Amino acid sequence: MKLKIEHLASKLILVIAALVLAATATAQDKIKIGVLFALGGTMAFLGEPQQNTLKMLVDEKNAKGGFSGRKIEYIVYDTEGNGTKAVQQFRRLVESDKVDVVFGPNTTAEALLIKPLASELQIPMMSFSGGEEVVVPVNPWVFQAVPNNRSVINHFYDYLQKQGHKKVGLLTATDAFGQGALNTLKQLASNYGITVVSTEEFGNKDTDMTPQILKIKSVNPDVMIVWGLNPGPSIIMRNAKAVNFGKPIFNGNGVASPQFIAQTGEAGEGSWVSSPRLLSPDTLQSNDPAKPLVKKLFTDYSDKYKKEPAAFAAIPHDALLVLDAAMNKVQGALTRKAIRDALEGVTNVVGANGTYTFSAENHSGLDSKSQPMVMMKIINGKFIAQP
Amino acid sequence: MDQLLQNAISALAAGAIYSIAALGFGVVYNATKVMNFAHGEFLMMGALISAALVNSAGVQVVLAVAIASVIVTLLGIILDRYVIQMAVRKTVLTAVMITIGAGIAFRGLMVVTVGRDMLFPPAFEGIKTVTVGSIYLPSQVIWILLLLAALSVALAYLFSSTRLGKAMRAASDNPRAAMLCGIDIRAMSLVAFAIAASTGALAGAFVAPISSAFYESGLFFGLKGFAAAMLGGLGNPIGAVLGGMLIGLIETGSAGYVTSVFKDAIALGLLILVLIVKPDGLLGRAEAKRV
Repeated sequence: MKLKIEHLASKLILVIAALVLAATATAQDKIKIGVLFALGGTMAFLGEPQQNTLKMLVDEKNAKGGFSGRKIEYIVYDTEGNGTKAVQQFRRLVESDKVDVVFGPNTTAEALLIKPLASELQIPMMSFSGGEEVVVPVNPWVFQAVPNNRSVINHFYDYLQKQGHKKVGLLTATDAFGQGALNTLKQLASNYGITVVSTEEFGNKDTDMTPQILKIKSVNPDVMIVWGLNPGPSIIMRNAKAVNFGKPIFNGNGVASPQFIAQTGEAGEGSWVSSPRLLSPDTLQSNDPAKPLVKKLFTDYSDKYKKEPAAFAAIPHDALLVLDAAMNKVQGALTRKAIRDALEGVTNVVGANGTYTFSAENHSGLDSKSQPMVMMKIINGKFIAQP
Repeated sequence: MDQLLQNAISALAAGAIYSIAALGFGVVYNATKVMNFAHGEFLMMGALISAALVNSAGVQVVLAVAIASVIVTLLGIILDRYVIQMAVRKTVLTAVMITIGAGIAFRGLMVVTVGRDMLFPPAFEGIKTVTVGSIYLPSQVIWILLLLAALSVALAYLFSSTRLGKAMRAASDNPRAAMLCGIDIRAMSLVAFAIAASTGALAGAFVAPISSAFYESGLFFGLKGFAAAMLGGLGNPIGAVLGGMLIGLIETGSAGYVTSVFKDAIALGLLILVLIVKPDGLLGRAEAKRV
């Protein structure tokens, strides 16, 4: 009897050893990406198109042999834009699914909750949210794959300065998106010789912003800057047209979508929108290094899903490019630590949203030098990229 | 001067929207003593269904508004007959909790059937925007004011002078005594929900060209409408109009002349003050109870 158990046990150990070996062997020729997207809830407009892009590109990449011979596997969990859920799903990805790297989440609030956890669990992650706080101060394990507030606004002011505008009136939303922008807008203005002559706010769901617009009009700025998510800015455009505001209106990147034109109609004509390139690939400058990539992504996406991609659908595209570049640098075993170290050394990767360069001090791949945004103008009901 | 006049018009427009959202709270309250927190969703659904019919299906505006109103009325009836009336313990508090849940369900229903898109239907035809010098009064605001006037007068007449209105009030004041007098309490509750849903849907459809139709905007209408109803005096249609107009005026005044940063805080802070001094609202009747 005793002998029999020993015999069994030794067999069992052999089986386990074989399984472990098999597992490590497969781990070597594939990379497992854990993904956190907001697919339900109010932030679903972000997660859904990004999931489409990711699926399309991973299929395409795997058909060509994956990342330098490694097949890509990914697991998507829905956070519903909810921080508590995001933390739970993050743990699940890292601890039970044993992924090598995490993509997402979509919102800054979620990313900030996960940030300390990433270093605790020692897992590299590429945040898809634009808050500067996500990468400042630097957490060795947390990277950012989208232009953050600061680089968006640096580009914005740089553009205004080149056009010779000096006095701006700000009209920002009362939510986190508007408030984050407001602080940075006030802080950076003087670097570009710009004076903020008026700051007003609006609730995204308010029905009439005429009083704020009239107040800004009365101090006579060169331009009005509007920062918020729809429907607020759409209503502002209509109100401004009705009271003959008369000065150029520049919108933040929250409204960079074809719906903005549909909602504002004639009232939006001639206004400006800071936007990622994917919104209008054909009108980009011909010397823009990202143009071919953006055009291909736009066409592939439209062909596959029979609708145009949302402007932020390019984020997973660029995250995969950056990860690919990092994987090429990894020598020896593919560990979480090795991926993290390699990500920090990625430089000059041209993506659809600009040119990515990371370093130990800068974990946001896109700073203002990498041209993360373009300024679009609405002309005849279309977004036209401006030089 | 121009700025003052234009701001006054903005105040009127915002006030009209809040007032029209407030009317339905009073109707349900008058018949059941229940605060219907799904009321904002009635407006949202009226707005969204009519906007979707106009924008995507090319249905005529009048027809679209009528269809939206009928659908929302049916939903209101279903909410009362098959959800609230089915509750085992019929207390006011249970019913209030049910309306909160129903509001979330209505939002989900709209996401599944109409979608998450934010729609701006075109302004109604038939009335022209009034422009005097540089001051303008949008045609849609005139439509909303007309609807508001018609609804508030009709509801005030209903509750003060008709048998039905009096029966509804009796049903909520003292259900048992009302029953003994031959009033069908459940029918009164059903009628109240039907009126609230149909007028709410109309209001939503009228407001949509200005404020957009979106599945999340019910909360906004609910909050502003509730505040206006409380301020004016619950159950009094004229009070609802007064309350809504006051909130619109204070919000616009603080946005235009003090600071837009605190406009909601100023308006709702004032609401608290009024409720401390006059707990039944500006036009509410003090409730006398025999002890």
